[in-house]
Amino acid sequence: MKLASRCNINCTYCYWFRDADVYKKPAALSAESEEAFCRRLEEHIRRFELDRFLLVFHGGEPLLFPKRRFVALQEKLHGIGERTGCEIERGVTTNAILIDEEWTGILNAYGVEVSVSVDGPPDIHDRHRVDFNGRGTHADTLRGIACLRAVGIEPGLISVCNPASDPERVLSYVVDELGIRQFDILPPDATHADNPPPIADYYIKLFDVWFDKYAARGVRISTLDAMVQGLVGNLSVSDTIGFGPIDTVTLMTDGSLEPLDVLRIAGNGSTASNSNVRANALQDVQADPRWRSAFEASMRLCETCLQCEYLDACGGGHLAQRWSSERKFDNPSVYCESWKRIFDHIWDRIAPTLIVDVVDAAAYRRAALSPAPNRRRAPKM
Amino acid sequence: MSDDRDKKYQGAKAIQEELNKKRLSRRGLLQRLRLMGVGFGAAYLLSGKDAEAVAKSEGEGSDTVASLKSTNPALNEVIDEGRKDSTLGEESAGDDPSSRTRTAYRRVFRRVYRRI
Repeated sequence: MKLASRCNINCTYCYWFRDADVYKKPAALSAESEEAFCRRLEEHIRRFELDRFLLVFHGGEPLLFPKRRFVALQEKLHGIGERTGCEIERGVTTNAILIDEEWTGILNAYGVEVSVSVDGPPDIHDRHRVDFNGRGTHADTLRGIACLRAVGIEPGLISVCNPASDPERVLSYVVDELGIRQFDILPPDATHADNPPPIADYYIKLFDVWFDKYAARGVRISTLDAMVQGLVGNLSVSDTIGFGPIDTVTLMTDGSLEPLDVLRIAGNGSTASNSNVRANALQDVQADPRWRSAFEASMRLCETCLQCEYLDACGGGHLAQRWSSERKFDNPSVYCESWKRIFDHIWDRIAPTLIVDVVDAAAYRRAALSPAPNRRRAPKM
Repeated sequence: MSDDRDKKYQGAKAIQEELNKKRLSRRGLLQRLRLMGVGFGAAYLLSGKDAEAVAKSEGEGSDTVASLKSTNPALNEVIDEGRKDSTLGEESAGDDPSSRTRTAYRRVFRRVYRRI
């Protein structure tokens, strides 16, 4: 749910502004679109008898959305939840720079989970996460995190890897200095037009440092988890790596319903759709050609992938990273060679620790279906 | 001990020996495990079959299953958590033709909340 189509900073690697169409959208979610979305959401929940719905407030920078309107929106969502019995879970992904006491009070009051983007220590973070004057934003982000923690909100953390940096420094900084034990380090968004640097050495070292030094301390990195789980044959838990469908719907600030927003990395108008909450039910997006093509591409892999040893564990990587103007999504990931090296390495490290056990089937299924530990907020160290 | 259980123990022992001697590829290991009833993860999505059909072809109904673990406790926790997800995926897939949508929901859910 795009609350804002603009941002207060100017990260050099951001996919969002690679599509000039975002400048044609209202700067903040329009009141009419918000109203229509809430109505459509309630219809959708009732029609499909949903007991759970996940909304992520996103941008640009979502906290550019006026606080007064944010509160009113939460009240509307609360009302929908009350009337339908559906739990509407809410999260916000932010650079934390605008976080102040008022925001923390609002986020706390409505149980909005918070995810903050931090790339590592100041010299790594400030290389790419800069304001419109080119100044680093690390100090401002840390002020925001401190503000969140002052009211007991423990944010999650997303980093974008810089393959030229040392992953051990990032890990040490996030865990030992920021005190965060569950987070993610993502490969930079890129397509085949970008020719990005390989990420293999970075992730191989990241895995080794994690496995040898941090895993026993309860540190978890989602992308590494996803790779391990894929390697041992479990379902994908991430859209960064692993096989599975992409069926995210993005609500734009003008009410249009688009496919996963990262796909706009493909260029101007690349996610533009014919669906809008003012005219369409949420479910109608499934018939929209752009949404449909992204969904189908996520489930249909190219020949190279189909022949690959790691097909099930990799799933072609992130859909956006498969894009080329010549063959659209019918490619392996732009990081394909890197992923293969990383999978080889992780398998070599974990295979010697694997044991095959025989257990009672009923007990196995009971244990497997017991609730997973609550990982929604990373504990402080 | 039932025949089935005995067969599973023998099978698990053989797989473990091959694994220890590095004679088993990852694909080979997963294929052998699937025949013994270990969660089939992404396999059903890739196969295009419905989960019930896959489960039947992979030994559901047996009173024992093979289970993959790690001697490294942290890694074991990751695998165990993934198994819970995979089993939930199978459960929902068996009940509902829209299983892929449910799987995807969980995938995004996990992705976001892992990050949050």
